[in-house]
Amino acid sequence: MEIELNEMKKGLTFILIKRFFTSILLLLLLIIFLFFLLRISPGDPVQKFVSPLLSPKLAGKVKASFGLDKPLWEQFFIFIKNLVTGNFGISYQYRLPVLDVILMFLPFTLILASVSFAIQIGTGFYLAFVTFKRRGGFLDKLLSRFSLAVYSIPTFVLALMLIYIFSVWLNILPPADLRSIEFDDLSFFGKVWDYLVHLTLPVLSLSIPGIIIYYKYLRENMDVENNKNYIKYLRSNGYDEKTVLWKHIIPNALDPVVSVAGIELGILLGGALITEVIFNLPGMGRLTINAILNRDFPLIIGCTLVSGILIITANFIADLVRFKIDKRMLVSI
Amino acid sequence: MKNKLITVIIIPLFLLFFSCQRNTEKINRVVIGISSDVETLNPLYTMNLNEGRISELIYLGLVGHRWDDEEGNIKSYPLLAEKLKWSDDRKSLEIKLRDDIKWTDGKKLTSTDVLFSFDVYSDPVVQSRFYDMFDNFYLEENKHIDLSKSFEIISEDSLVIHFANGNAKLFDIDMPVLPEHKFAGIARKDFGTSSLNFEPVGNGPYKLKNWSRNEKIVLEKNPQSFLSSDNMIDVLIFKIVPDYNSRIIQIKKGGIDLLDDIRPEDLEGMKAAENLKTVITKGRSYDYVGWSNIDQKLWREKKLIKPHKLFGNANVRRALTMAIDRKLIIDEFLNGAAEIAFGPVSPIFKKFINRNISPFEYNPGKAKSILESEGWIDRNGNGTVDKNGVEFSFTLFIPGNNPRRQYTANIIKENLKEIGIEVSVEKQEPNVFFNNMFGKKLEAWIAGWVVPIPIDLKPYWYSDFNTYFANSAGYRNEKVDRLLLELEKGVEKEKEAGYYYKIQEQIHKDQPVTFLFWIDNISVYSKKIKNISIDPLGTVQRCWEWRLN
Repeated sequence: MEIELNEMKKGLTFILIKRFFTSILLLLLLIIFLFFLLRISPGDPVQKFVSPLLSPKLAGKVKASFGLDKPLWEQFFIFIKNLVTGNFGISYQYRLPVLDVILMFLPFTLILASVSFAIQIGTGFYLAFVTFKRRGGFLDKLLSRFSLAVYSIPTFVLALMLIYIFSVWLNILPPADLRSIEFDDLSFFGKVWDYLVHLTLPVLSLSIPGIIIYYKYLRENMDVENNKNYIKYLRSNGYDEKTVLWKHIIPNALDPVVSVAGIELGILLGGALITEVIFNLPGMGRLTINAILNRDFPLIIGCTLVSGILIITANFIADLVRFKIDKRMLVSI
Repeated sequence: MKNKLITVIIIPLFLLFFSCQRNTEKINRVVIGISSDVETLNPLYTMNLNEGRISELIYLGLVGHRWDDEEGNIKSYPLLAEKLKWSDDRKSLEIKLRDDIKWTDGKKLTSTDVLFSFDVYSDPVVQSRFYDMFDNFYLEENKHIDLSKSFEIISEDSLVIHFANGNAKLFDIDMPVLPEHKFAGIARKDFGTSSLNFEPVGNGPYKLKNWSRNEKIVLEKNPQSFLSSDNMIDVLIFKIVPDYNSRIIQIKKGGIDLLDDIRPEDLEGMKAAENLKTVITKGRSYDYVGWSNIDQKLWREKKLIKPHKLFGNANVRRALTMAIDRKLIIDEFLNGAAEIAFGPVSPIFKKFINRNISPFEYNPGKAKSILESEGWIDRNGNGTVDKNGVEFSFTLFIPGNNPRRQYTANIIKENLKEIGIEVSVEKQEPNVFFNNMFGKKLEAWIAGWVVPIPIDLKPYWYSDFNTYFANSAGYRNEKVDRLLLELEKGVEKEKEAGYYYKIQEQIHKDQPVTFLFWIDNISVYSKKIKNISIDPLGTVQRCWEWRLN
C-alpha cells in the first residue's frame, strides 16, 4: 500500500515537471510560429497612416519606428531578445505596453468565464442528477427532447433572443454594457446590483449551451455506467443506492466530462467574442480580434500567449481533477 | 430549508435592490453612441473621426469653423485668437491671443504654446499626423518648420507667423494648440506613448473626466473655458457600442441620446420614435467603382505607364458607367437616401459642384454599341465580348463586411453580364483590400471616399502616383493636373469655382472611375437636446451651444 502511495506521488511530481516544460515549449513554438505567420500574412500595421490627407512619408516613419523596416531575421532576434526580458513591446493601437493593455481586459474575462463556468457545471450537473434520479419523469423527457435543439441555437441568436425577451419585451434587464452610465454615482450596493443586472443576460447566453453540454455528457455517461454489470452486481449484493450512485456511477461517469470541462474552460478564458460584441463587454475576445484587424503585432502575440497559458492551465487543472477522481491513472504513468 | 433559502438569497437581494438609490436626478448630460474606442486623445496622433471630434472639444485651435449652408463652404473665425491680421502680401499673419485662456491645470496659454505646437507637429521625430503638411512655412531639409524664420514672438499673447509664400490660408494654422509645459520633460520620440495621450491637459470647453477602455469616454464641462456657460451640457458621454443593432436598440430605449450613421433601412423606424428627431443631411462620402486606367503590374515593377488592356480607354469606361444601374441600388438598398454621383465634388459644396453636368443615364444598349465601336465584340460566341484575343472578363474586389458594397457588386455583375462582360466578385479583408488598392494591385474594385473639408481634390486626381497614392485608378490628365496646381497655389476667390467646374467636366469626360452615389448622412437625437446644429462639419461640433429641456 505504501509502495503504491509513493508511486503515485512520484507519478504526480513527474507529471508536474513534464507538463511544465512541455507547456513552456508549446507556448514558445506557438508565439514563434505566430511571429512569422503575422509577418508573411497580407495587411499592414501602418495602414491607418495611409490616408490621402496624411503624408506618405509619415507612414514610412511610423513603419521604421515599429521596427518593421528591418529584415525579418533582425526583427525576429529583437523579438526573442525582448521576449526573454519579459518585454512584449508597445501596442500600436493603445500606445501602451502590451501587458498593461492585457491587464485592462483580462480581469473582466476571468470573472465572466469563472462565473459562467460555475453556472454551467453547477446547473448541468444538477440537471443530470435530478433527471437520472427521476428517469422517465417530466423534466427528463423535456430535457432529452429539447436540450439538443437549445444547444444547436447559435450564441448570437440566443443572445438576441434573450435581449428581445428581457430587454425589449419585458423591459426588466439592460440590453448591453458592463454597467450603466450613472454607475459612478451609485452607492456600493447600487454598483453591485448594477453589475448583477447588466451581467445576467451575457452570463445566461454564454452559459446555456455549456449547461446543455455538461448535462448531456454526464447524463449519458451515468446511464452507460448504470447499465454495466458491476453496478448490477453491487445492487444485487445489497449496496444502497446512495453508495452505488456517489461512489461508483458518478466517479466513473465524471472522467470524460472533466476532460471536456478543461477544454471548455480554456475556451471561455480565451474570451467570449460573440457575447462580448453583442453585449458590448470589454473582454479579451474583442481585444484579440481588434488587435488582429488592426495588425497590432505585439498585442496579437501578447493576447495569444495569455490565452495559451490559460488554456494550458485549464487543461492541466482538469487533468489533476481526473487524477484525483481516478488515482490508478497516476500509477499507470 | 425554505426559510433558510429566503434568509440567504432573497432578503439580501431585496436589500441590495432597495439600497441602489441613484444620485443622478439633476445630472445634465448627453450620451453619444460611437462604434469603436479611440486610441488617443492627443491631437498629435488623433487619426480617426471619433478621435478628432472628441479631442477637438478638449483642445482648441487658433481658428474655429462654421458651415455656411447657403454658400456650401466653411467660414473660419478666430477662436483662441482674438484678432487675426494678414499683411498686404499675405505672407505674414499677426495673431493676438485671447487673454482669458487657461489650460485645465490652471496655467495661462501663451504664444510660446503656439510656437511649441507648430514645432512638434512638424518634427519628424514626433511623427504627428500633420507631419509634412507645412509647405507654406519656411522649412528645414527634414520638413521641420524653420522656427526662427517662421515665427516671431511679440509678447505673451501676440505673435507673427511669416510664411514662405503668399498662398497661406487660415487652414495652415488650423491645429489644436498644445501645452508646452506638460510636454517639457518628455523626450519627443516618447510623445506617442506618454501619459498625455490618456490624461489630456486641454484648453477647450470640455475636459476628460473618465475613460473606461472599450466602454465610454466621459467629458465634463471645463468651467475655466471662455466658451463655458452656466446652462451648457455638464457631461458628454461617448458610449462605445460596436454592434450596430445594439446602438439602434439603445437609442430607441434612451440609453443613447445621439447617434450618427443610421442605415437607410432604419430611417422609418427612427422617424416613428416619438422621443427622437431624425436629421438627414447631404453626404460628403461617395462610393465608386475603381477601374485601373493603367497597367498596374508594369507601373509597380518598372514605373512605366501603359493603358490597361480593359479599362485604359475612356470610351470603354464611359460604356461601363452607362451599363450600371445606379438608381436601382439607391432605390433598393439605400431606400432613396443617396444621390447619383457624376464627379468628386460633393453636393454639400454648393458653390463648387458643377450642376451643368448630367450623370450618364443607365443605358445598356448604348453601352453595348460603344463597346462594339471600340472593337469589343463576342467573336467566339461564348457570351463574353473579346478583342485581339482578350476576353472582357475581370475580378471586382470589394472589402469584406460591407453589405452595401456586396449588394452593389452583385448588381454590377448582373448589369455588365447584359453587355457581354464577365465579372467575378471577390471579397478581401479590409486591411488587405486597402493595402492592395493603394499598392495598385487591383484591376477593378468598389470603395468609397469621404471628401475633406475644405475641398481638396489633388490627393485623389493628381498624376504623381508616388506622392498621391490615393489616385489608385492611375488617372492622368494634363489639364486636370494644371488646374489642381493652380488651385493649390491659390486663385482669386471669384475664379475658384470655375476651376472646379473645369476639373469636374474633364473627369466626367474621362470617367477614370464610375462615380456611384453620394450617401446621405442620417443622424438621430433625443428631442431633449435643443440648439443642436447638424451639418457637414459633424454633429458634436459646437456642442457647447447645446441645451437640455
